[in-house]
Amino acid sequence: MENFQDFYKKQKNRLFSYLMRMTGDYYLSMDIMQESFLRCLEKYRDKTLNSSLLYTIARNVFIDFTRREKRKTALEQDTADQDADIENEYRVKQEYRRVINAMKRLDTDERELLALVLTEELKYTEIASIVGINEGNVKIRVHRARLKLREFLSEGD
Amino acid sequence: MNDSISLYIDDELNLDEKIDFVKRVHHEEPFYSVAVDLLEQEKLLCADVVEAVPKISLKEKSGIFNLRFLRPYFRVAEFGVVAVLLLLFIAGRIPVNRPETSVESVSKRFVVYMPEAQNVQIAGSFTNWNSVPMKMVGPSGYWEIELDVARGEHKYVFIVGGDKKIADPTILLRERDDFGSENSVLVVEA
Repeated sequence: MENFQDFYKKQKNRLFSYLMRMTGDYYLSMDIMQESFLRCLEKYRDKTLNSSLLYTIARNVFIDFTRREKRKTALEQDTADQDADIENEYRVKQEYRRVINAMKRLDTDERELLALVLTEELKYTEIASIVGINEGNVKIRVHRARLKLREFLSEGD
Repeated sequence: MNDSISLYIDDELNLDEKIDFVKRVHHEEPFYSVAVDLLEQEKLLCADVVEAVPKISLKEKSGIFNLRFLRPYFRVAEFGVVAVLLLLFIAGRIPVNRPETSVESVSKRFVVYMPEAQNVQIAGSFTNWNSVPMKMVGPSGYWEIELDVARGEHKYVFIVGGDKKIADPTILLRERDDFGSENSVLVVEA
């Protein structure tokens, strides 16, 4: 049976890429990844882990983080955050920066669905259950997101 | 509807639907163009996002490096170090490891002496961390396997008896993983 360490090693890079596509923020993605794996470890150590469970947990952690972050006012943002923005850009591969920028322009639900699809780990039916919509809606919205992204990316050419 | 292109990309079509899809691609030029565009786009979207996935600690939640209010200052300091290294690299003063993404691979033989073991496996970045059984070399106590390994840097570990993980005793270069155990580091040169 696959143990937690094997599961972690297999899933780590994909989960981080998913979070980067969702947030565009290196350190936020790192925090969410850490919290997600810790929750997996604490609650599901002896149970069979699967990618659907991991992404459900990661999505919940992401929602918790964004709720918390929204409470911050612009005045609370310090200058170090501006430096972090610049650094964040350098952490992302150069050829991927325009993808991240284009993904930021998608509606949140479209970005989320596309990010889940891009993990190449989940079927539409699993994504539907993670996000809480029906499979038909996943089909339509994923395709709409891809078309929008094509438009945004072509604007940059 | 055109969402069959996304269903095709995401492998959500059954065989009949795949046949219909191929027919449409063949007969409808606009459909063909969008399909090719989205497939090209998919290659871009599925590429690696970051230069390196960060290490995290799964042992402790607290610690000075995990305090969010201090992290911006660490980030600034760390960024400075990155900038200096970049400048040194540009000046040609330090060598840089080749990335792990090289597609070329070489055959590598891994050997470990475990006379008491019932079974020995190997798992590493070159097996996508899947455990691969090694073969016992007669009654010698040695276990071996030959694997294709892409050029670049790899981490791996031997698994003895199904659960005990040990680093390769013949490789001095090691790295602690996020769980505090040691992996051997293998650099396959170009």
